[in-house]
Amino acid sequence: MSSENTTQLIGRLAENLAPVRRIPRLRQAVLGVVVLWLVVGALALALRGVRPDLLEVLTPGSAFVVILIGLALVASGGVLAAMATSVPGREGAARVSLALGLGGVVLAGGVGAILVLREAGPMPTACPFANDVACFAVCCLLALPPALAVLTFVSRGAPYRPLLAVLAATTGAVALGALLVHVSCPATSARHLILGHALAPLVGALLLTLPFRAALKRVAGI
Amino acid sequence: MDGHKTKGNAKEAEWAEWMAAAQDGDSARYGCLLESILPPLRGFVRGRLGDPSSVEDVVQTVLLSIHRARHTYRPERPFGPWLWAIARNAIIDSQRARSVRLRREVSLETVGEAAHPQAPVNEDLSLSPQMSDALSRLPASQREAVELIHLQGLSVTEAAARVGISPGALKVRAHRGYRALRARLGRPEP
Repeated sequence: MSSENTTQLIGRLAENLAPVRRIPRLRQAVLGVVVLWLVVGALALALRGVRPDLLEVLTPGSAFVVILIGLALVASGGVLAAMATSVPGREGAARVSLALGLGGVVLAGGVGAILVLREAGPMPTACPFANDVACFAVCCLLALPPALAVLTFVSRGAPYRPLLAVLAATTGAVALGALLVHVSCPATSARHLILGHALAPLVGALLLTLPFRAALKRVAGI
Repeated sequence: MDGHKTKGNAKEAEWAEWMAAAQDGDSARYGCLLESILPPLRGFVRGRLGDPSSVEDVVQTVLLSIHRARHTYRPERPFGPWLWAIARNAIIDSQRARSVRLRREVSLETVGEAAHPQAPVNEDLSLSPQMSDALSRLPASQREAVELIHLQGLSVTEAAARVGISPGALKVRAHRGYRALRARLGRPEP
């Protein structure tokens, strides 16, 4: 590269300059994802309905609420981290979001799971494994629109670590889907709440990250 | 101190303005911007690189990264953090690439030594029958590369010049030759 003088390089870059479309503001982009998720959520809840005992289980400190808060943290942390890592100079926001998301994972997958098992007692409610898989699949399905929105922003940005951005995006998006599933699924089985809801973002991210990463590389060349 | 800071802020504000104009296609201001950030950028790169000889290469890499990522700058945000984040990432990438390159070069030399443990350089060689046989079975281009570097003791550049190809291409040929020799002689990877 040093065969070309730096001044010559500057001249060449300036000479071939083309106007560019600025990346949207991070705040606007996040707001866009939230609005999209609200639309998807309204449709999903209209189809599935909320769980009948929602008001009863919404008691402070209950396993249901802890998982709900954990999933909300994973969702916000994941989506924000994916977007912030795609904009140079927003590393601080990315770090905070990643910490938020990791805190959510610990809360939902760790503390929530422990509380669920404790609340279940010695005779846990039976629930077929197929139901766990079904809820997990719905989480992933509901994650697709927000994931695509986040990844569109990532593809327009300049992510330093594209794999990390995609991992954060898929984790956050599946957590957004899991939030909707969690408030709409009437199941009370401990295993179902852990596998089908609390751990869905982690498992979903494992499944979706590589295909989305490959798609990002193919479509945007990142 | 405050005066210095104010001057720095004014400079950054000017850079931000120029970058906003560059995003709209103003090449004159873009040129001014790149010229203006060049000295602090050189200092930034020099302060983070162990090898002063590669400063200019890395500076050019950073300039290209800035050019590619120029659409990600938002005029309402400060310019400095955006610029230095790109510079930092480009420096880390170039250092990583350099260390991979160095490791590969070292392992190439090790492979060469493994293939010719007692090969006296620049002397009439008496190769073992197995080595001669393995060498003779290599494709001509690989055999030539191995012989020039490890039997005749030429440097990669000299050998490449003699063959009429780039040093990188010669290294690849030699590396493939070593690998084939190692496989034929039943030696493990170093």
